[in-house]
Amino acid sequence: MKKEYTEQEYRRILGGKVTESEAVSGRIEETYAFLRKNAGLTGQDGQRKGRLGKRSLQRLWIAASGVAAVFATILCVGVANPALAAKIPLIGGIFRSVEEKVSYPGDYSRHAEPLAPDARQEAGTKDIPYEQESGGVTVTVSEYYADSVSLYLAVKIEPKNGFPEEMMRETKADTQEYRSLQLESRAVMDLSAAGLGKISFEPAMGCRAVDLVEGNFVNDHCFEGIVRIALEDVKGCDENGDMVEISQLPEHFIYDLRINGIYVTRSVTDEVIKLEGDWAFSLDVTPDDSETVVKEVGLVGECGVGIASVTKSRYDLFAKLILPEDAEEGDYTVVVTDEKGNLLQGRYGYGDIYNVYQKDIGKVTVAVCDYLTWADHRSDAAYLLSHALLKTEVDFEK
Amino acid sequence: MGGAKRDTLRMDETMKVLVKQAQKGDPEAFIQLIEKNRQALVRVAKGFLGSEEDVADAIQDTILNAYEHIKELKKAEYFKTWLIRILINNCVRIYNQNRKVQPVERMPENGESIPPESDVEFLELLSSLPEDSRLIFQLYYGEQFTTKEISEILGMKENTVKSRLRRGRERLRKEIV
Repeated sequence: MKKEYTEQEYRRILGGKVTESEAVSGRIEETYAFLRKNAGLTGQDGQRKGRLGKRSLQRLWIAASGVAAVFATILCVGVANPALAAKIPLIGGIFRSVEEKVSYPGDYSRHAEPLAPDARQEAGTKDIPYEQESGGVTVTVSEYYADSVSLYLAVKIEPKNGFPEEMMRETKADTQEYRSLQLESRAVMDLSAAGLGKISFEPAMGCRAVDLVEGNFVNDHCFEGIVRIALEDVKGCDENGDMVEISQLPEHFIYDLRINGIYVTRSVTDEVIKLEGDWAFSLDVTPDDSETVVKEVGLVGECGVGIASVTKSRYDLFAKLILPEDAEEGDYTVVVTDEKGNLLQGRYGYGDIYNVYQKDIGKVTVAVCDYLTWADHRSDAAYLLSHALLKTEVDFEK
Repeated sequence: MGGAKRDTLRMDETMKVLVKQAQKGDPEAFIQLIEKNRQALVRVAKGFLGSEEDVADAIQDTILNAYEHIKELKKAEYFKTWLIRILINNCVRIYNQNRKVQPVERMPENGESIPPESDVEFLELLSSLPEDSRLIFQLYYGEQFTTKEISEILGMKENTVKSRLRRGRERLRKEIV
């Protein structure tokens, strides 16, 4: 039996003095010498001068997070009267230009509802519900696609005076094909048509609203992107202020969104660079579930964890778990392999909801693994399936 | 007032003075701040990256980034948390660029000392944890950050940090028995 370590020993070993290698010591001292020599010239006056050995002082920041970035972005665009949507594309190509580059790719442009080019003329009013200007910034939604798992909106953001250069710089990430802008917003989902009242989403109330748009800068005056709103598990506050969870949406609902800020957070300083305004939209949503399939599974393993059902829509797949009373969802990870045995990539980097665009998912294997098992072997499908707490095959073609 | 508490207050005041001086452009004050956190920088970077050259790169970039942006630090008492967050950003960037696999056993490089045998065993056990858990262990036990501070550094929920610590301890116990 090996020695068992106490917490005090954890601290001693991990917090103990480490001896630096010559490479590290040398580089630190070199940096100090550089700072002393270039005092007042390095960065603090906004200018970079001097060179430090072979190293350039220009750096691009990639924001690091221990867990994958939060991609739950929802931007609701209001179409007051869908009958006015004459299917004449106003902008049209936004979905097409970014849909395969974002973290949740899909051919949304093929199935999206375009919006009317000039509702003002057609409706005889001055309001253009899907195009809002505030604070010198115009936000437009040109298309949307919805099923009961997700709502996707094609969005264009155009500040009259252009985006701050720092905002554009902060969104750049070498490893991604898209950029992200954060959104400060709140939303209300009107489910009155189904007798369920109104559900509010406000960060102050601890409910997730729309917080991110993914896409690209066309130029320094235009950003085009997609916002994804998760509908598979709606958690918000009812009219009494109580938290409610809606797992089954009605066939039709209204989604009212109010955006008050479009911003980025500087990765080094947490300073926020924001475009402020008041953009309010009301979206009349009828989810298209022509390709949504729910397979009831009802399988429970010896440990009490199980799979209640597996849902597949046009672009997403997720499993609903059965958990014992004292279990925490974070202790388990859902793993899914496609027909060829390839692992599907989950949103956020771990099992939650899977993007299934261009995947062979007529039949899938769905497994539940202990979190540590998954974390240690997350690229090894064979290992994960052989060490799963339970697994099942789901055939969506039957 | 107890001696330890008095020392802590004195240290906090010293830190505040140094941060203020560094924010005014005093490189010596800034270097003193880095020196006070130098061991933490080395420990965290070494836990993350595979080669001493990468560790040196990450620490150098961190020092330069921090010097450039220290004026924007709003609260002096958050200096260490802020500095470590910059370091982790740099470590992740270098790791992604190089995609180097962290070797389970690293040969000591010039100037490095070899840890005692009993510690080596623990470090090997630790290397069996997923990288996010290893980093959380280093920040919690090695650098004495609270779970709340770690959640801010890593952009995780605090409950997730606590869960990772708990699962990590369970895993280490399982490996030992």
